[in-house]
Amino acid sequence: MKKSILTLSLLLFTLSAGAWNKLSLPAITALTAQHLTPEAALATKAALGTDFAECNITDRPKYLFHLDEEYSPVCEGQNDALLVIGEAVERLNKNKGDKEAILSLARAVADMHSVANVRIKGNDMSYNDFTVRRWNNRNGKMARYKDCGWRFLWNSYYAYKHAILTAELYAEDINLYHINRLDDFQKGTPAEWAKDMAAESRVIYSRELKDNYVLSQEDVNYWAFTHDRLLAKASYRLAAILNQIFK
Amino acid sequence: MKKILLFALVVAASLSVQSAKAWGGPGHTIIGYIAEQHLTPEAKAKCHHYLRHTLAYEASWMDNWRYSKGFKGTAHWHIGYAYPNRQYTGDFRSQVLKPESVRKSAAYRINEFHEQLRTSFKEMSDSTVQNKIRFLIHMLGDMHCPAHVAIPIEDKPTYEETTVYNRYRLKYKGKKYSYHSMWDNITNILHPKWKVTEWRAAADSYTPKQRAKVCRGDANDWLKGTTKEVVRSYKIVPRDTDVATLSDSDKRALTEMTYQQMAYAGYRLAYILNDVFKE
Repeated sequence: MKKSILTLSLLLFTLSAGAWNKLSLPAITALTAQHLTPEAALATKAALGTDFAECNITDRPKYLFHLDEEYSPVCEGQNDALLVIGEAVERLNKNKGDKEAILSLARAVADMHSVANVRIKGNDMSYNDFTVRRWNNRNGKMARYKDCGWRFLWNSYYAYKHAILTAELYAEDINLYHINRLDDFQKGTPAEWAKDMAAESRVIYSRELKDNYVLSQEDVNYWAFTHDRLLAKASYRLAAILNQIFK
Repeated sequence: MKKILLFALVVAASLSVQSAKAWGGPGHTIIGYIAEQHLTPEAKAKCHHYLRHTLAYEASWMDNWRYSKGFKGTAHWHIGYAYPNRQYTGDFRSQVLKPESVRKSAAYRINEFHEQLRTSFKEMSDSTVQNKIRFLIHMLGDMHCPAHVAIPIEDKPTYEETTVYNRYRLKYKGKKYSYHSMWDNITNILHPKWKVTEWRAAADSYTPKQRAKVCRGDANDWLKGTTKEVVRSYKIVPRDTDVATLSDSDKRALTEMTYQQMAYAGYRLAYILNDVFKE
Protein backbone atom coordinates (compact mmCIF):
# COMPACT_ATOMS: atom_id res chain seq x y z
CA MET A 1 0.00 0.00 0.00
CA LYS A 2 2.81 2.37 0.96
CA LYS A 3 4.41 1.69 -2.41
CA SER A 4 1.13 2.56 -4.19
CA ILE A 5 0.83 5.84 -2.31
CA LEU A 6 4.42 6.72 -3.13
CA THR A 7 3.81 5.96 -6.80
CA LEU A 8 0.65 8.06 -6.80
CA SER A 9 2.41 10.93 -5.05
CA LEU A 10 5.08 10.86 -7.72
CA LEU A 11 2.39 10.78 -10.39
CA LEU A 12 0.70 13.79 -8.80
CA PHE A 13 4.00 15.65 -8.67
CA THR A 14 4.65 14.84 -12.32
CA LEU A 15 1.18 15.98 -13.36
CA SER A 16 1.34 19.26 -11.50
CA ALA A 17 4.94 20.17 -12.15
CA GLY A 18 5.45 18.35 -15.42
CA ALA A 19 2.94 20.10 -17.62
CA TRP A 20 5.26 22.99 -18.41
CA ASN A 21 7.99 20.57 -19.19
CA LYS A 22 5.96 18.64 -21.71
CA LEU A 23 5.16 21.53 -24.01
CA SER A 24 7.23 24.64 -23.42
CA LEU A 25 10.61 23.06 -22.81
CA PRO A 26 10.71 21.12 -26.10
CA ALA A 27 9.76 24.37 -27.85
CA ILE A 28 12.68 26.13 -26.14
CA THR A 29 15.17 23.46 -27.21
CA ALA A 30 13.72 23.47 -30.74
CA LEU A 31 14.00 27.25 -31.01
CA THR A 32 17.49 27.26 -29.47
CA ALA A 33 18.58 24.70 -32.07
CA GLN A 34 17.46 27.05 -34.85
CA HIS A 35 19.91 29.68 -33.59
CA LEU A 36 22.97 27.57 -32.91
CA THR A 37 26.02 28.16 -35.06
CA PRO A 38 27.04 25.09 -37.11
CA GLU A 39 29.97 24.60 -34.69
CA ALA A 40 27.74 24.69 -31.62
CA ALA A 41 25.18 22.41 -33.26
CA LEU A 42 27.89 19.84 -34.06
CA ALA A 43 29.54 20.08 -30.65
CA THR A 44 26.27 19.72 -28.73
CA LYS A 45 25.27 16.80 -30.95
CA ALA A 46 28.58 15.09 -30.22
CA ALA A 47 28.13 15.61 -26.48
CA LEU A 48 24.44 14.74 -26.29
CA GLY A 49 24.36 11.98 -28.87
CA THR A 50 21.37 13.69 -30.51
CA ASP A 51 20.45 16.97 -32.18
CA PHE A 52 19.98 19.74 -29.64
CA ALA A 53 16.33 20.14 -30.72
CA GLU A 54 15.71 16.56 -29.65
CA CYS A 55 17.39 16.71 -26.24
CA ASN A 56 15.13 16.02 -23.31
CA ILE A 57 15.31 18.52 -20.47
CA THR A 58 11.79 17.90 -19.22
CA ASP A 59 12.70 15.18 -16.74
CA ARG A 60 15.42 17.21 -15.06
CA PRO A 61 15.11 18.97 -11.69
CA LYS A 62 13.40 22.36 -11.68
CA TYR A 63 15.37 25.50 -10.82
CA LEU A 64 14.18 28.70 -9.18
CA PHE A 65 15.04 32.34 -9.80
CA HIS A 66 15.40 34.50 -6.69
CA LEU A 67 14.98 38.25 -6.26
CA ASP A 68 15.39 40.42 -3.19
CA GLU A 69 12.83 43.02 -1.99
CA GLU A 70 14.21 45.53 -4.50
CA TYR A 71 13.86 43.08 -7.38
CA SER A 72 17.62 42.55 -7.63
CA PRO A 73 18.66 39.01 -8.60
CA VAL A 74 20.24 36.99 -5.79
CA CYS A 75 21.57 33.43 -5.63
CA GLU A 76 19.90 31.28 -3.02
CA GLY A 77 20.13 27.55 -2.40
CA GLN A 78 21.25 24.59 -4.47
CA ASN A 79 18.48 24.77 -7.04
CA ASP A 80 19.08 28.38 -7.98
CA ALA A 81 18.98 28.90 -11.75
CA LEU A 82 21.65 31.62 -11.83
CA LEU A 83 24.01 29.53 -9.73
CA VAL A 84 23.50 26.48 -11.95
CA ILE A 85 24.07 28.54 -15.11
CA GLY A 86 27.41 29.79 -13.71
CA GLU A 87 28.52 26.30 -12.68
CA ALA A 88 27.47 24.71 -15.98
CA VAL A 89 29.33 27.32 -18.04
CA GLU A 90 32.45 26.77 -15.95
CA ARG A 91 32.22 23.01 -16.42
CA LEU A 92 31.70 23.34 -20.16
CA ASN A 93 34.65 25.66 -20.53
CA LYS A 94 36.76 22.91 -18.95
CA ASN A 95 35.14 20.00 -20.78
CA LYS A 96 33.12 20.72 -23.91
CA GLY A 97 31.78 17.18 -24.00
CA ASP A 98 30.07 17.45 -20.59
CA LYS A 99 26.55 16.27 -21.45
CA GLU A 100 25.19 16.83 -17.93
CA ALA A 101 26.43 20.42 -17.92
CA ILE A 102 24.70 21.16 -21.27
CA LEU A 103 21.41 19.73 -20.03
CA SER A 104 21.62 21.56 -16.68
CA LEU A 105 22.45 24.80 -18.45
CA ALA A 106 19.51 24.41 -20.83
CA ARG A 107 17.06 23.68 -18.03
CA ALA A 108 18.38 26.48 -15.82
CA VAL A 109 18.18 29.13 -18.57
CA ALA A 110 14.66 27.97 -19.40
CA ASP A 111 13.55 27.97 -15.77
CA MET A 112 15.02 31.40 -15.10
CA HIS A 113 12.58 32.75 -17.69
CA SER A 114 9.44 31.24 -16.20
CA VAL A 115 7.29 33.57 -14.12
CA ALA A 116 6.16 30.59 -12.02
CA ASN A 117 9.74 29.95 -10.90
CA VAL A 118 10.37 33.47 -9.60
CA ARG A 119 10.67 33.87 -5.81
CA ILE A 120 10.70 37.42 -4.47
CA LYS A 121 11.77 38.07 -0.91
CA GLY A 122 8.93 39.62 1.06
CA ASN A 123 6.36 38.76 -1.61
CA ASP A 124 4.31 35.80 -0.33
CA MET A 125 2.40 35.44 -3.59
CA SER A 126 5.60 34.39 -5.34
CA TYR A 127 6.20 31.63 -2.78
CA ASN A 128 2.70 30.20 -2.64
CA ASP A 129 0.62 28.97 -5.52
CA PHE A 130 -2.83 30.55 -5.58
CA THR A 131 -5.99 30.46 -7.65
CA VAL A 132 -6.62 32.79 -10.57
CA ARG A 133 -10.04 33.07 -12.19
CA ARG A 134 -10.17 33.56 -15.96
CA TRP A 135 -13.33 35.58 -16.52
CA ASN A 136 -15.10 35.50 -19.89
CA ASN A 137 -15.82 39.25 -19.64
CA ARG A 138 -19.58 38.65 -19.54
CA ASN A 139 -21.95 39.64 -16.79
CA GLY A 140 -25.13 38.21 -15.28
CA LYS A 141 -26.26 34.75 -16.39
CA MET A 142 -23.56 34.50 -19.04
CA ALA A 143 -20.63 35.23 -16.70
CA ARG A 144 -18.22 32.28 -16.50
CA TYR A 145 -14.99 31.78 -14.54
CA LYS A 146 -12.38 29.14 -15.21
CA ASP A 147 -10.15 28.60 -12.23
CA CYS A 148 -6.56 27.47 -12.33
CA GLY A 149 -3.39 27.82 -10.32
CA TRP A 150 -1.07 30.79 -10.79
CA ARG A 151 1.81 28.50 -11.63
CA PHE A 152 -0.32 26.43 -13.96
CA LEU A 153 -1.22 29.63 -15.80
CA TRP A 154 2.41 30.42 -16.53
CA ASN A 155 3.80 26.92 -16.90
CA SER A 156 1.03 25.26 -18.86
CA TYR A 157 -2.04 27.28 -19.78
CA TYR A 158 -0.55 29.37 -22.57
CA ALA A 159 1.41 26.52 -24.08
CA TYR A 160 -1.64 24.23 -23.93
CA LYS A 161 -3.52 26.67 -26.11
CA HIS A 162 -1.13 25.61 -28.85
CA ALA A 163 -0.69 22.02 -27.73
CA ILE A 164 -1.83 20.60 -31.06
CA LEU A 165 1.22 22.18 -32.71
CA THR A 166 4.45 20.22 -32.62
CA ALA A 167 7.27 21.73 -30.56
CA GLU A 168 9.03 22.66 -33.82
CA LEU A 169 5.97 24.46 -35.21
CA TYR A 170 5.38 26.28 -31.94
CA ALA A 171 9.03 27.32 -31.89
CA GLU A 172 8.77 28.51 -35.49
CA ASP A 173 5.84 30.72 -34.54
CA ILE A 174 7.58 32.19 -31.50
CA ASN A 175 10.52 32.91 -33.75
CA LEU A 176 8.41 34.56 -36.43
CA TYR A 177 7.12 37.08 -33.92
CA HIS A 178 10.40 37.80 -32.10
CA ILE A 179 13.14 37.33 -34.68
CA ASN A 180 13.58 41.07 -35.21
CA ARG A 181 14.52 41.35 -31.52
CA LEU A 182 17.06 38.53 -31.56
CA ASP A 183 20.10 40.80 -31.09
CA ASP A 184 18.34 42.84 -28.45
CA PHE A 185 17.40 39.74 -26.43
CA GLN A 186 20.85 38.13 -26.76
CA LYS A 187 22.81 41.22 -25.83
CA GLY A 188 24.57 41.05 -22.43
CA THR A 189 25.59 38.39 -19.94
CA PRO A 190 23.53 35.98 -17.82
CA ALA A 191 23.75 38.50 -14.97
CA GLU A 192 22.25 41.19 -17.20
CA TRP A 193 19.56 38.81 -18.45
CA ALA A 194 18.70 38.13 -14.82
CA LYS A 195 18.16 41.86 -14.32
CA ASP A 196 15.96 41.92 -17.42
CA MET A 197 13.94 39.00 -16.04
CA ALA A 198 13.68 40.86 -12.74
CA ALA A 199 12.14 43.81 -14.61
CA GLU A 200 9.66 41.47 -16.33
CA SER A 201 8.78 39.99 -12.93
CA ARG A 202 8.31 43.41 -11.36
CA VAL A 203 5.65 44.31 -13.95
CA ILE A 204 3.73 41.13 -13.15
CA TYR A 205 4.18 40.96 -9.38
CA SER A 206 3.55 44.68 -8.83
CA ARG A 207 -0.14 43.93 -9.31
CA GLU A 208 -2.06 43.40 -6.11
CA LEU A 209 -2.21 39.65 -6.60
CA LYS A 210 -4.35 37.64 -4.20
CA ASP A 211 -6.10 34.29 -4.00
CA ASN A 212 -8.99 34.11 -6.52
CA TYR A 213 -7.45 36.94 -8.53
CA VAL A 214 -9.77 37.68 -11.47
CA LEU A 215 -8.24 37.95 -14.92
CA SER A 216 -10.23 39.59 -17.68
CA GLN A 217 -9.85 38.46 -21.30
CA GLU A 218 -7.55 41.43 -21.83
CA ASP A 219 -5.31 40.38 -18.92
CA VAL A 220 -5.09 36.81 -20.18
CA ASN A 221 -4.31 37.95 -23.73
CA TYR A 222 -1.79 40.55 -22.62
CA TRP A 223 0.12 37.99 -20.56
CA ALA A 224 0.17 35.62 -23.54
CA PHE A 225 2.58 38.11 -25.14
CA THR A 226 4.71 38.05 -21.97
CA HIS A 227 4.71 34.25 -21.94
CA ASP A 228 5.82 33.99 -25.56
CA ARG A 229 8.41 36.73 -25.17
CA LEU A 230 9.98 34.89 -22.22
CA LEU A 231 10.09 31.67 -24.25
CA ALA A 232 11.88 33.57 -27.02
CA LYS A 233 14.31 35.19 -24.58
CA ALA A 234 15.15 31.85 -22.96
CA SER A 235 15.77 30.20 -26.33
CA TYR A 236 17.80 33.01 -27.88
CA ARG A 237 19.91 33.42 -24.75
CA LEU A 238 20.58 29.71 -24.40
CA ALA A 239 21.73 29.70 -28.03
CA ALA A 240 23.97 32.71 -27.33
CA ILE A 241 25.69 30.97 -24.38
CA LEU A 242 26.20 27.73 -26.31
CA ASN A 243 27.50 29.58 -29.37
CA GLN A 244 29.98 31.42 -27.16
CA ILE A 245 31.18 28.23 -25.43
CA PHE A 246 31.58 26.28 -28.67
CA LYS A 247 33.09 29.11 -30.69
CA MET B 1 -5.35 4.24 4.00
CA LYS B 2 -7.87 3.42 1.28
CA LYS B 3 -9.29 6.91 1.66
CA ILE B 4 -5.87 8.45 1.06
CA LEU B 5 -5.43 6.31 -2.01
CA LEU B 6 -8.85 7.26 -3.32
CA PHE B 7 -8.18 10.95 -2.67
CA ALA B 8 -4.87 10.74 -4.54
CA LEU B 9 -6.60 9.08 -7.49
CA VAL B 10 -9.33 11.72 -7.60
CA VAL B 11 -6.78 14.55 -7.52
CA ALA B 12 -4.71 12.89 -10.23
CA ALA B 13 -7.80 12.46 -12.41
CA SER B 14 -8.94 16.04 -11.90
CA LEU B 15 -5.51 17.36 -12.84
CA SER B 16 -5.47 15.48 -16.11
CA VAL B 17 -9.01 16.62 -16.92
CA GLN B 18 -8.02 20.22 -16.18
CA SER B 19 -5.10 19.92 -18.56
CA ALA B 20 -7.27 18.61 -21.36
CA LYS B 21 -9.97 21.23 -20.85
CA ALA B 22 -7.58 24.17 -20.61
CA TRP B 23 -6.90 23.86 -24.29
CA GLY B 24 -9.37 25.18 -26.83
CA GLY B 25 -9.50 25.77 -30.57
CA PRO B 26 -7.50 22.82 -31.93
CA GLY B 27 -9.86 22.51 -34.89
CA HIS B 28 -9.19 26.13 -35.82
CA THR B 29 -5.45 25.54 -35.55
CA ILE B 30 -5.70 22.57 -37.93
CA ILE B 31 -7.63 24.66 -40.47
CA GLY B 32 -5.08 27.46 -40.25
CA TYR B 33 -2.29 24.96 -40.72
CA ILE B 34 -3.94 23.36 -43.76
CA ALA B 35 -4.54 26.81 -45.28
CA GLU B 36 -0.91 27.79 -44.71
CA GLN B 37 0.23 24.79 -46.79
CA HIS B 38 -1.80 26.07 -49.74
CA LEU B 39 -0.74 29.71 -49.72
CA THR B 40 1.32 31.00 -52.60
CA PRO B 41 4.81 32.18 -51.55
CA GLU B 42 3.62 35.80 -52.02
CA ALA B 43 0.51 35.35 -49.90
CA LYS B 44 2.45 33.49 -47.21
CA ALA B 45 5.06 36.26 -47.02
CA LYS B 46 2.34 38.93 -46.79
CA CYS B 47 0.41 37.04 -44.11
CA HIS B 48 3.56 36.56 -42.05
CA HIS B 49 4.40 40.23 -42.51
CA TYR B 50 1.03 41.42 -41.23
CA LEU B 51 0.38 38.75 -38.58
CA ARG B 52 3.96 38.11 -37.43
CA HIS B 53 2.59 34.65 -36.81
CA THR B 54 1.36 31.70 -38.83
CA LEU B 55 -2.33 31.31 -39.66
CA ALA B 56 -2.43 28.31 -37.29
CA TYR B 57 -1.21 30.34 -34.32
CA GLU B 58 -3.70 33.14 -34.92
CA ALA B 59 -6.65 30.85 -35.57
CA SER B 60 -8.34 31.47 -32.20
CA TRP B 61 -7.55 35.16 -31.90
CA MET B 62 -11.17 36.09 -32.54
CA ASP B 63 -12.32 33.81 -29.69
CA ASN B 64 -9.66 35.10 -27.33
CA TRP B 65 -10.90 38.69 -27.68
CA ARG B 66 -14.58 37.89 -28.24
CA TYR B 67 -16.02 39.78 -25.28
CA SER B 68 -13.33 42.43 -24.93
CA LYS B 69 -13.84 46.12 -25.50
CA GLY B 70 -14.18 46.90 -29.19
CA PHE B 71 -15.23 43.34 -30.13
CA LYS B 72 -18.73 43.25 -28.73
CA GLY B 73 -20.42 43.67 -32.12
CA THR B 74 -18.64 40.61 -33.51
CA ALA B 75 -20.52 37.83 -31.68
CA HIS B 76 -22.68 37.00 -34.73
CA TRP B 77 -19.68 36.87 -37.01
CA HIS B 78 -18.93 33.47 -35.49
CA ILE B 79 -22.17 32.04 -36.86
CA GLY B 80 -23.43 31.10 -40.28
CA TYR B 81 -27.18 31.69 -40.34
CA ALA B 82 -28.39 29.30 -43.01
CA TYR B 83 -31.63 31.19 -43.64
CA PRO B 84 -30.74 34.83 -42.97
CA ASN B 85 -34.20 36.10 -43.86
CA ARG B 86 -35.92 34.09 -41.13
CA GLN B 87 -36.31 34.87 -37.46
CA TYR B 88 -33.80 33.48 -35.00
CA THR B 89 -33.51 33.43 -31.24
CA GLY B 90 -30.26 33.71 -29.34
CA ASP B 91 -28.98 32.36 -26.04
CA PHE B 92 -32.47 32.54 -24.54
CA ARG B 93 -35.69 31.62 -26.35
CA SER B 94 -37.27 34.95 -25.43
CA GLN B 95 -34.46 36.82 -27.17
CA VAL B 96 -35.20 37.49 -30.85
CA LEU B 97 -32.09 38.41 -32.77
CA LYS B 98 -31.98 41.63 -34.77
CA PRO B 99 -32.43 40.84 -38.50
CA GLU B 100 -29.37 42.98 -39.20
CA SER B 101 -27.22 40.78 -36.92
CA VAL B 102 -28.47 37.64 -38.62
CA ARG B 103 -27.95 39.00 -42.12
CA LYS B 104 -24.47 40.41 -41.44
CA SER B 105 -23.01 37.25 -39.91
CA ALA B 106 -20.11 34.99 -40.96
CA ALA B 107 -20.80 34.54 -44.69
CA TYR B 108 -21.57 38.23 -45.19
CA ARG B 109 -18.43 39.34 -43.31
CA ILE B 110 -16.19 36.86 -45.13
CA ASN B 111 -17.32 38.21 -48.51
CA GLU B 112 -17.08 41.78 -47.23
CA PHE B 113 -13.53 41.43 -45.84
CA HIS B 114 -12.40 39.48 -48.89
CA GLU B 115 -13.56 42.29 -51.17
CA GLN B 116 -12.18 45.07 -48.96
CA LEU B 117 -8.76 43.47 -48.73
CA ARG B 118 -8.70 42.55 -52.42
CA THR B 119 -9.43 46.06 -53.59
CA SER B 120 -7.60 48.17 -51.05
CA PHE B 121 -5.33 46.40 -48.56
CA LYS B 122 -2.47 48.67 -49.67
CA GLU B 123 -4.36 51.74 -48.51
CA MET B 124 -5.18 50.24 -45.11
CA SER B 125 -3.02 50.49 -41.99
CA ASP B 126 -1.03 47.36 -41.12
CA SER B 127 -3.14 46.73 -38.02
CA THR B 128 -6.38 46.93 -40.05
CA VAL B 129 -5.09 44.37 -42.54
CA GLN B 130 -3.80 42.24 -39.67
CA ASN B 131 -7.17 42.17 -37.93
CA LYS B 132 -9.13 41.47 -41.10
CA ILE B 133 -6.89 38.48 -41.83
CA ARG B 134 -7.37 37.27 -38.25
CA PHE B 135 -11.14 37.58 -38.59
CA LEU B 136 -11.10 35.70 -41.89
CA ILE B 137 -9.03 32.83 -40.45
CA HIS B 138 -11.49 32.30 -37.63
CA MET B 139 -14.74 32.96 -39.51
CA LEU B 140 -13.83 30.49 -42.26
CA GLY B 141 -13.21 27.91 -39.54
CA ASP B 142 -16.43 28.67 -37.69
CA MET B 143 -18.58 28.67 -40.81
CA HIS B 144 -17.40 25.17 -41.69
CA CYS B 145 -18.06 23.79 -38.21
CA PRO B 146 -21.56 22.26 -38.18
CA ALA B 147 -22.15 23.58 -34.64
CA HIS B 148 -21.76 27.14 -35.87
CA VAL B 149 -24.35 26.93 -38.62
CA ALA B 150 -27.77 27.90 -37.35
CA ILE B 151 -30.54 25.88 -38.94
CA PRO B 152 -33.71 24.33 -37.55
CA ILE B 153 -33.52 20.93 -35.93
CA GLU B 154 -35.06 18.40 -38.27
CA ASP B 155 -37.71 17.02 -35.95
CA LYS B 156 -38.73 20.49 -34.79
CA PRO B 157 -39.05 22.49 -37.96
CA THR B 158 -39.19 25.87 -36.35
CA TYR B 159 -36.58 28.43 -37.20
CA GLU B 160 -36.30 29.40 -33.57
CA GLU B 161 -34.51 26.14 -32.79
CA THR B 162 -30.85 26.00 -33.62
CA THR B 163 -27.94 23.75 -32.84
CA VAL B 164 -25.73 26.75 -32.22
CA TYR B 165 -27.32 27.52 -28.87
CA ASN B 166 -27.02 24.03 -27.40
CA ARG B 167 -30.63 22.95 -27.79
CA TYR B 168 -29.76 19.75 -29.61
CA ARG B 169 -29.02 17.38 -26.75
CA LEU B 170 -26.68 14.42 -26.90
CA LYS B 171 -24.89 12.38 -24.24
CA TYR B 172 -21.28 11.65 -23.50
CA LYS B 173 -20.56 8.59 -21.33
CA GLY B 174 -24.13 8.77 -20.02
CA LYS B 175 -23.90 12.44 -19.05
CA LYS B 176 -25.66 15.40 -20.63
CA TYR B 177 -23.84 16.73 -23.67
CA SER B 178 -24.75 18.95 -26.57
CA TYR B 179 -24.26 18.84 -30.32
CA HIS B 180 -22.25 22.04 -29.99
CA SER B 181 -19.93 20.54 -27.34
CA MET B 182 -19.40 17.50 -29.55
CA TRP B 183 -18.04 19.66 -32.35
CA ASP B 184 -16.04 21.87 -29.99
CA ASN B 185 -14.30 18.71 -28.72
CA ILE B 186 -14.26 16.73 -31.94
CA THR B 187 -10.45 16.52 -32.13
CA ASN B 188 -10.34 15.02 -28.64
CA ILE B 189 -13.18 12.63 -29.43
CA LEU B 190 -11.66 11.34 -32.67
CA HIS B 191 -7.88 11.53 -32.26
CA PRO B 192 -6.92 12.96 -28.87
CA LYS B 193 -3.19 12.41 -29.34
CA TRP B 194 -2.80 13.66 -32.89
CA LYS B 195 -0.75 16.73 -33.65
CA VAL B 196 -1.63 19.18 -36.38
CA THR B 197 0.69 17.44 -38.85
CA GLU B 198 -1.18 14.13 -38.44
CA TRP B 199 -4.54 15.86 -38.88
CA ARG B 200 -3.31 17.52 -42.02
CA ALA B 201 -2.00 14.21 -43.40
CA ALA B 202 -5.47 12.71 -42.95
CA ALA B 203 -7.63 15.65 -44.04
CA ASP B 204 -5.67 17.43 -46.75
CA SER B 205 -6.09 14.73 -49.38
CA TYR B 206 -7.75 16.52 -52.32
CA THR B 207 -6.26 16.88 -55.80
CA PRO B 208 -5.63 20.37 -57.25
CA LYS B 209 -8.68 19.91 -59.48
CA GLN B 210 -10.86 18.96 -56.53
CA ARG B 211 -9.54 21.89 -54.50
CA ALA B 212 -10.36 24.30 -57.31
CA LYS B 213 -13.90 22.93 -57.39
CA VAL B 214 -14.24 23.28 -53.60
CA CYS B 215 -13.28 26.96 -53.85
CA ARG B 216 -15.84 27.89 -56.51
CA GLY B 217 -18.43 30.50 -55.57
CA ASP B 218 -18.35 32.67 -52.48
CA ALA B 219 -19.06 32.36 -48.75
CA ASN B 220 -22.82 32.21 -49.29
CA ASP B 221 -22.41 29.14 -51.49
CA TRP B 222 -20.02 27.56 -49.01
CA LEU B 223 -22.50 28.13 -46.19
CA LYS B 224 -25.14 26.23 -48.17
CA GLY B 225 -22.71 23.31 -48.44
CA THR B 226 -22.10 23.26 -44.69
CA THR B 227 -25.84 23.46 -44.07
CA LYS B 228 -26.27 20.19 -46.00
CA GLU B 229 -23.55 18.62 -43.85
CA VAL B 230 -25.36 19.70 -40.68
CA VAL B 231 -28.53 17.96 -41.84
CA ARG B 232 -26.47 14.86 -42.70
CA SER B 233 -24.86 14.96 -39.25
CA TYR B 234 -28.29 14.75 -37.58
CA LYS B 235 -28.61 11.27 -39.10
CA ILE B 236 -25.17 10.20 -37.86
CA VAL B 237 -25.74 11.52 -34.33
CA PRO B 238 -29.50 11.69 -33.70
CA ARG B 239 -30.73 13.39 -30.55
CA ASP B 240 -29.84 11.66 -27.27
CA THR B 241 -27.06 9.63 -28.91
CA ASP B 242 -24.17 8.80 -26.61
CA VAL B 243 -21.19 10.14 -28.56
CA ALA B 244 -18.77 7.92 -26.60
CA THR B 245 -20.44 4.77 -27.92
CA LEU B 246 -20.94 5.53 -31.61
CA SER B 247 -20.90 2.50 -33.90
CA ASP B 248 -17.80 2.06 -36.04
CA SER B 249 -19.64 3.11 -39.18
CA ASP B 250 -21.08 6.24 -37.53
CA LYS B 251 -17.71 7.16 -36.09
CA ARG B 252 -16.18 6.70 -39.53
CA ALA B 253 -18.83 8.91 -41.10
CA LEU B 254 -18.30 11.59 -38.45
CA THR B 255 -14.53 11.37 -38.95
CA GLU B 256 -14.85 11.76 -42.72
CA MET B 257 -17.16 14.73 -42.29
CA THR B 258 -14.69 16.35 -39.89
CA TYR B 259 -11.78 15.87 -42.31
CA GLN B 260 -13.86 17.25 -45.16
CA GLN B 261 -15.02 20.35 -43.33
CA MET B 262 -11.53 21.15 -42.05
CA ALA B 263 -10.03 20.71 -45.51
CA TYR B 264 -12.73 22.80 -47.20
CA ALA B 265 -12.26 25.61 -44.68
CA GLY B 266 -8.50 25.52 -45.11
CA TYR B 267 -8.66 25.50 -48.92
CA ARG B 268 -11.17 28.34 -49.04
CA LEU B 269 -9.17 30.43 -46.58
CA ALA B 270 -6.05 29.92 -48.68
CA TYR B 271 -8.04 30.74 -51.82
CA ILE B 272 -9.17 34.09 -50.36
CA LEU B 273 -5.71 35.05 -49.11
CA ASN B 274 -4.06 34.02 -52.38
CA ASP B 275 -6.60 36.15 -54.21
CA VAL B 276 -5.99 39.15 -51.94
CA PHE B 277 -2.19 38.96 -52.14
CA LYS B 278 -1.85 37.76 -55.72
CA GLU B 279 0.73 40.26 -56.89
